[in-house]
Amino acid sequence: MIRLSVLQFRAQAATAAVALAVFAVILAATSPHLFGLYDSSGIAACQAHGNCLPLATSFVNKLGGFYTVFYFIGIGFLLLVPAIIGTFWAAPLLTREFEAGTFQLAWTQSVTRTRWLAAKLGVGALAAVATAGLFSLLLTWWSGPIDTAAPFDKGNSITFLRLGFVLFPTRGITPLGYAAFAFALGVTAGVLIRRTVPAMAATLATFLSIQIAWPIWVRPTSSHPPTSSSRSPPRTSLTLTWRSVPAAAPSSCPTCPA
Amino acid sequence: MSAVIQTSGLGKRYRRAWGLRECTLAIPEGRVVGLVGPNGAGKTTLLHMAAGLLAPTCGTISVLGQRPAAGPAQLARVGFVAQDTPVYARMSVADHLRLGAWLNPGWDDALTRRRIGRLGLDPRQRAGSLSGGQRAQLALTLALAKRPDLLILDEPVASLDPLARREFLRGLMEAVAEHGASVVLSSHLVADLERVCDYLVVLAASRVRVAGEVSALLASHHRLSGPRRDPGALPAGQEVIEESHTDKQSIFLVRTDQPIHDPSWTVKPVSMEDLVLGYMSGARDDRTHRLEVVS
Amino acid sequence: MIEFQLDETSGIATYLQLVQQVHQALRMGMLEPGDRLPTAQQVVAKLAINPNTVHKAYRELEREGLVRARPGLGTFVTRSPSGTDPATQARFLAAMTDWLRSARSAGLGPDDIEAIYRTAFRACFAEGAA
Repeated sequence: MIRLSVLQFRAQAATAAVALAVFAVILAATSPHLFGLYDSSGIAACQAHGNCLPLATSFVNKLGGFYTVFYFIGIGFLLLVPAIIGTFWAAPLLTREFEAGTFQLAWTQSVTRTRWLAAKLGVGALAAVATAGLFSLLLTWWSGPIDTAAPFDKGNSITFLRLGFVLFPTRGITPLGYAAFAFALGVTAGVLIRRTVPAMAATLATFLSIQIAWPIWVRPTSSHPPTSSSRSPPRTSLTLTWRSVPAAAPSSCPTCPA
Repeated sequence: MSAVIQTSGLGKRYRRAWGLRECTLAIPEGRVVGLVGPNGAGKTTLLHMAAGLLAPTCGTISVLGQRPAAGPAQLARVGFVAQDTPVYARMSVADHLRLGAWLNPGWDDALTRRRIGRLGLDPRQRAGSLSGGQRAQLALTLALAKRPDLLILDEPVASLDPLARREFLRGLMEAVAEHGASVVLSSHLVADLERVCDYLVVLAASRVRVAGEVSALLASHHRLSGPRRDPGALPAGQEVIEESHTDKQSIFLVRTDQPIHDPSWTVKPVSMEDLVLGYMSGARDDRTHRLEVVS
Repeated sequence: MIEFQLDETSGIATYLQLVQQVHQALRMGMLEPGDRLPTAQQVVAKLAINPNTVHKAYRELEREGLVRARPGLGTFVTRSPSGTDPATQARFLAAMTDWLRSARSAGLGPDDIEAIYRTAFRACFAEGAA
């Protein structure tokens, strides 16, 4: 039954593989430049003490437009991947069998309904989590330098908080959790609604609502991410935009070391 | 002889109406059973319960001595071909055979290769692009190759052209000749069943109207025509199934085990089609009569 | 090997049609003692009928003493049905024609004659006189 579930999953697996391959190629092609620049920028050594803002600024400027664009594409993609998994993989998983009547074929072979369901859900959930995991792995690794450099700009510090709206759901293992949740949501919608397109729509709508509502209303009540201590050096403005910014640091910060 | 499907007071209720009620049958093994009735009579309901796809609302059903879909062993002994023979449209013919081999321990690979070869199906062709007849043959192959003791087919030939229909029945009967499975086959076309069935069950308005060996049924049913009279005027022991009257003449379809001696009747045998139609229209009239009594 | 055919419109039971066709073939000399009848599988492959019907027909022929089933080998013709020579048939045909003529002149119509014939036929063969 596992073999059959994998067989039925062929098309989705191929799509995921293609997307992964595209990302992998782009990341592999761009990483030497990115990491080279980062290493030579000296930001890593600077982080614990001292003003890293000029180093960070020059690093980002040297990178150029493509890298910053792709950085945000990566973030957007990782936000969307769980929704896509829930809508296009999980919701049709069972509804397609009901709508086409093929459940009559599947349930009258020599495997019980329980085994059939367990295999389909097991294979699907594993694939969902693995896919999200692989994308997260690739993008978290590649985005590391920019993740480190960008927060030195006070204006960006909210956006680039590791536990904030943008980075928390798109780095590390969080996408796996979202993918697992989206998968479970999609399958549930499929079982309750039993028709493919309505189930897909319901899954997408519900997941996106939760994805938006959770960090705004629920997470703040449950977790209290550490705020910066008084020890860390104050930061001055660095605008992370497409065009390069003059390296001169504005003199608004009174305690900046010379 | 043991019963291959045994039901007692079996019933299934859907949201608003009963799909099947008070169904009590004991279908003997080794037969090709025809399940006949108009659309909506409950044939699919009964067959789905026998295949373990539906749970009964009341009553009991046992298939090959066990509860339907009781476990992998019981599932392996029953083959099912669903109405309109659904297949996985995007999977190839070969993929479907792989599906069968993976999911059925008793898979007969040689049989599938023989059948697919004889049918001229291209293993790499997507099942969604097969014709109706080819799809039906593929579904039949999948059901036969697990070597079941019982084959259940829900209106497998309803949407097939006459040639495809004949080919399907031929394949089915060849498999029965070779492996000796029992078959339960539903249809709303009597002509198909006449050729292949030796046991008949007539369903109408969600109830079983008559069930028995075809030869016994044909021997015990007669069409009587004669001068106009009431059914009450018939001697006892003759059950009236259907009646029609003009002002001078009466025609009755009766079931009886005794010979008919009354010379005023012309006695003619009935064909299977007439028998089935008689029970189906009798069922319809039953309902009307009941309504009259109530009001 | 004899090739069976099926007449769906005749109203005669399928197994009886097979039996009659064997009788006919024996009478015409197309089947001789020692010939093998087609297997149930072969008949089913040609006619798409229930194999039980074939078995029923062969059992009936065996009961009549015309064939014998040899397990694993097939069903073989053992002898021709008796009373099949053309002379005997012609004699009875003449006797029947005379009888019909006298029945007609006595005033009996075709349906009366048929009813009489069927009653006598049923009575005769129901007694098991084969």
